[in-house]
Amino acid sequence: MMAEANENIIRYLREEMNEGEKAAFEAQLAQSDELRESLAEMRRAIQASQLFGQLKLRQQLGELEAELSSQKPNEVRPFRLYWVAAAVLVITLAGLWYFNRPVPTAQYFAQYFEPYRAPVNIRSSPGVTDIWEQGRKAYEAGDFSLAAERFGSLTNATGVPTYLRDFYWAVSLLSQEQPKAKKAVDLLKNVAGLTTGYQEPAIWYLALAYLQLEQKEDARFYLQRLRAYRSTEAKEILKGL
Amino acid sequence: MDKLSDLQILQGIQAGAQGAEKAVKALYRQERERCLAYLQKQGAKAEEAKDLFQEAVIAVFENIRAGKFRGESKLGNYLLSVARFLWLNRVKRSAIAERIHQAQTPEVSHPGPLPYLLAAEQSQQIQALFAALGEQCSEVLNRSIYWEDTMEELAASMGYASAQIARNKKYRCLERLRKMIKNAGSQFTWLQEIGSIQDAH
Repeated sequence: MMAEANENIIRYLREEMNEGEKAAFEAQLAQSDELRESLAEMRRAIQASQLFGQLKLRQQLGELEAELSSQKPNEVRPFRLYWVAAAVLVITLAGLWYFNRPVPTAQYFAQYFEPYRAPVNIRSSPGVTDIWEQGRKAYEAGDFSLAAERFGSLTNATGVPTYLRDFYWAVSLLSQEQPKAKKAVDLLKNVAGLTTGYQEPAIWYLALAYLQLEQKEDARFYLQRLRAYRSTEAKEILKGL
Repeated sequence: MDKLSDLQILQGIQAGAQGAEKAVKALYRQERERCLAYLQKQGAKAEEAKDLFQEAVIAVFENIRAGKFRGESKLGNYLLSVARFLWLNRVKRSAIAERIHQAQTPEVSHPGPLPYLLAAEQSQQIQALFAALGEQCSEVLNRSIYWEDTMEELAASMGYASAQIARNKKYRCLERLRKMIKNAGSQFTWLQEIGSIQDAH
């Protein structure tokens, strides 16, 4: 294959052709089994190159890791005895304060929260726009800010059940580095009141959101309602509250 | 080595191979300790944590390149959330594998971590393919396709006299690779055909 033909295939795959060029290329594709086959093979070649790049980068990071692991930690200069004694005293006092202070309930959120499993692809449902798919992919990739934004922009007209949208929207909000618990509470209340497969998970996340907001009594109320989903963890938290 | 800011790392990653490699390694150095400590606290063993962290760094790099990171959080926090997500996925996969293992018939006593074995097998196939392609072509395709070097950058890094020569070289290498995959028959059928080169490129 000539470089020019290859370049055309690549420009087509990169969507760099103008409308006229694209139409002409697609007309050629429609008529040529050979060109269609070349296009498919080129896609494979490019994907293989992509995977090779990943492997090489992985190898480079492995080498960097070996280098960093083999470095000796910085030498610590010896302390004088009275500094050690002072440090022990400070640590002891800090420890006494720490163990006697009221435990913030947000600590339970940090300890127990983890995102719910990624949503399923419901592309086959009629009327579902790409927004769900974009949110789903962002959620899968751990980009919860984008996932929340995408799920949040789904309207009722898209065909995604409201309880499903609200549930994943709320969990995405809670999964962010700075969890947005207030908004999540509003959304999860909608789901927790409906008899669906997401009812108990919604109650669990609702309780966690209240813990994050330091609303202990509300959290307690919902934790006591859990019958199956995360009921062991709920009991553990209730014991500590 | 001086610490790079988020902006410097992001700009480096958007540059060609040379700048991007430096930026990725800086990100790795700067966030390594915190991420490894976090993953181990979550229950990952030391080697497993390193493995996950490397996966996370690559995922973050590729997400930045694909425009999926929008700068709403600090880069380190984003990396940590990706690492956490990968860890949780791995835990879930292990739990599923354990359930499958328990349901196995008695003669299958050591089913092994099948998904990892498959991935390793595919990695070996790719390594062997590019070893057969040759060092120079492998480097050309790695730089131009994975790291997205421009033809000018490719010419400079590979010592070609012009961008046009680099372009011709790239297409010749791609063509060779295409034929090798074609001649390998069914060996590479697992390579999914991507709808748009921009998704992966």
